[in-house]
Amino acid sequence: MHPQEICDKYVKENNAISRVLDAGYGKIYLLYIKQLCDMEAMRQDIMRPILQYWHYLKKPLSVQELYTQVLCVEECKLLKCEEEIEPQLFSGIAILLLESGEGILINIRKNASSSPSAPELNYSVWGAKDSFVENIEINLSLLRYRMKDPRLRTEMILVGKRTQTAVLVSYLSDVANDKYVDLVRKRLKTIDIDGILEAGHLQWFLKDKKFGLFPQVGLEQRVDLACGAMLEGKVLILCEGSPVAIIAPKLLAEFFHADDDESETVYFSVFSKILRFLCVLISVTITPLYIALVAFHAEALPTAYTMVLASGRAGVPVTVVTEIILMEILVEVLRECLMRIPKNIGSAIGIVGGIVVGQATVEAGIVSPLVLVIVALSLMTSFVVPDYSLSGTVRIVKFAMIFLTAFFGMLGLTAGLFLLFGAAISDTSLHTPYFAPYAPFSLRDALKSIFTNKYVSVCRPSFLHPKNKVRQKKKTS
Amino acid sequence: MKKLLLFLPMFFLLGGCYPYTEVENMDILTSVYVDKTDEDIRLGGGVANVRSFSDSMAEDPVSLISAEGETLENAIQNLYQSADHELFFGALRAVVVGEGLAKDGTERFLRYLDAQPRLRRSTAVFVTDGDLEEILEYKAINDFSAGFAADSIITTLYEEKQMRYTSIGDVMYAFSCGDAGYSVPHITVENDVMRVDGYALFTGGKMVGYTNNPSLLFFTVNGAVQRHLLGATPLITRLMTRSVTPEVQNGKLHIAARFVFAAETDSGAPVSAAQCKALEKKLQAQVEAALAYSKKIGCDYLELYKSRMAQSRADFDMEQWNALLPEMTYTVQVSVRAR
Repeated sequence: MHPQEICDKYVKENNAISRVLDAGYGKIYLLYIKQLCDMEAMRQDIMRPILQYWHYLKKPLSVQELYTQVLCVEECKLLKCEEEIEPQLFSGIAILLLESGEGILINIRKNASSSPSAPELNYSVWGAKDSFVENIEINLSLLRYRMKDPRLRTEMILVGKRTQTAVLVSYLSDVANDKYVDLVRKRLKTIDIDGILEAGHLQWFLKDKKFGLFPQVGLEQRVDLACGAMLEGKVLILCEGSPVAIIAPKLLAEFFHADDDESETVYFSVFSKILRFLCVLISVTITPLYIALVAFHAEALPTAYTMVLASGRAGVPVTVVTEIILMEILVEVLRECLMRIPKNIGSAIGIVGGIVVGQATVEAGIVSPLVLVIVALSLMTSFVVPDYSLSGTVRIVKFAMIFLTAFFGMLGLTAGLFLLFGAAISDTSLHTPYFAPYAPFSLRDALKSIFTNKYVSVCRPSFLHPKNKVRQKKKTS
Repeated sequence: MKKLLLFLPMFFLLGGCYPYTEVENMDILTSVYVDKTDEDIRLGGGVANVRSFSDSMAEDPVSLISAEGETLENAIQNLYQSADHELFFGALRAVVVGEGLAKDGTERFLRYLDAQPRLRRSTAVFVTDGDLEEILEYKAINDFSAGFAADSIITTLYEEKQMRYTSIGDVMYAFSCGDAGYSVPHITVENDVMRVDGYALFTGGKMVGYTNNPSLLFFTVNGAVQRHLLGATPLITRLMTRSVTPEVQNGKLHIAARFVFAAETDSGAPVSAAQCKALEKKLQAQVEAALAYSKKIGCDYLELYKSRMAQSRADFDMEQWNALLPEMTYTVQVSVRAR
């Protein structure tokens, strides 16, 4: 097809820009999408050199001359066939076409102006404050900044028939198990969808169980933690247009690990880990436990507490189950609302919802004061887990436990916990047992996960089956 | 799918919500009493008025319910009918038995209570010859509610090793050991003060005697403490070692008991050898008197059978333990050391 026809086609159908340079020495067609390309580079590095060469040499330019002597851009390559034009054009590449039908692909992609900023989700007191951004090139440079190892492999895979989203699979070739890399690569390559717009969408395709209860991959905003995961032997997946990296595999015990643990003393770190686990347990069980004690097993409490429970409930017109569900839904509505509304009015809504509504419901006698305390405690403890993605699971599980307890009492709660642990133990992340190192049990890894700093431990976790098991050489005298 | 099929039967086997009764919709019994008058059985209880806790104690913290019947069954039936809600036995702290029923037999009533699924077996049992309702309404200082007083007092004294605590579980255990004897604290309210004045002694659920001999504690409470006044010197003895060895030979029971005490003064002044000797004599007399009374009434309220069972449960099961007691012989050795 003649270059003019090609340009006309994309100008007409896709609002592309076509610019023809003609100084009497043959025509040069430039085809690009203005919104994706750097116009300054277009002027200074492509148009100006071509016009200057024509002016001084006063002869037509061959594609080889253009490629080797004229164009002042860092990355360009010769066009092999016409089919290459369409995907490259829409990824921000400028196409230079000659009348002879030859052409050059010139990378003058416009980089998004966003620069690394402090993470909003994985906030840390002592840790690094830089986080991934929407631009995959910047993200890659952030990784390279921290990881100078030549064995850091990065593979680009285009996903989405229409969006052609670049997905970067990154791992340490001498550490990460090939099975993980192959599995991730296979799952990404088999995605047949019109578009992927962010990392969250990719999660679905990387899961072992599509409808699993627990998050099976990790979402990470912080670059240092992402690099830390690669050092352990995990695979990192970056998605163009998303400021979040996916880490796979991600196991349950790792959701309880906070980066700040490494900056504290070992005693405080162990205390914090135990506290987080207890908080999740409290969050899941405290409201069902209240139902069980009020409605089924009041005798399980000392007499004085039984009377406090009864006196708190006296005068409340609804059953304890209704009371709890009412308050839990109120709290969930408040939480959902605070996530959606602008930050400026968020605090006002928090005060209205938390204090005014909460206190008013108690004073109106709709709920007992103890329920307010319990529901608030349940909400607070659900947010103690450092990884936000587990909080959703905790809250969903809590509702399931409430219904089970409402029907079956303490036995229902016990059965629910049994099922919950069953679900956690039978889950996998990239075919790695989700409850590792506790099930299957590995004493060394289990102790290490509680008592040691995982970034400086002598060996990598065995349950990840890394190629290179040792990360720190022991001192020899 | 397989897992679902596995878990479904589990849920069907669970209890279900039929026992769903919220705690505020039940009459919470803090204590119950039972007695026998000439004709009828009197049964009652203190129901906690839960509103009083949030209402700055404006109302009576406990309301009494009571019923009478010709038989225990009738009285229980009438009690249920006189209650506003389902009776909740799970918060019961004290069971007070009048001497009338205690002498007639408490076994059926206590077994009825024990069969209540929510009852705690640690609930204390008391005997009184006073006004039962007065005991239930008695409220000690700083008590959470009336009906707790007897339990609070005995718990405090028990923790200080100065009193024996008898629970429904203890009584049931004694029943299961061939109607062996047991002792139950005897309480009374005098001049608006509740106190434990001794122990009612039971065999086979019937009260057969009464004692205020404190040496009962040496047999039944580890580390039992007693206070003495020798002349003008206040002394405290603490049981350090106890050895009770029952021997049955040719159908005769012989008890060899040995107790070692440590003595001290409140002020920390040293205890002299003479004082130790005097205490030994006093304590020896107490213990011998306790054993003599056990022999006399044929009631093993000192729980000697537990030592025998520890030696050989099989032998104990073969012996008519209660029948051995009237012919019992014993040797007692008491020594007191200055602490």
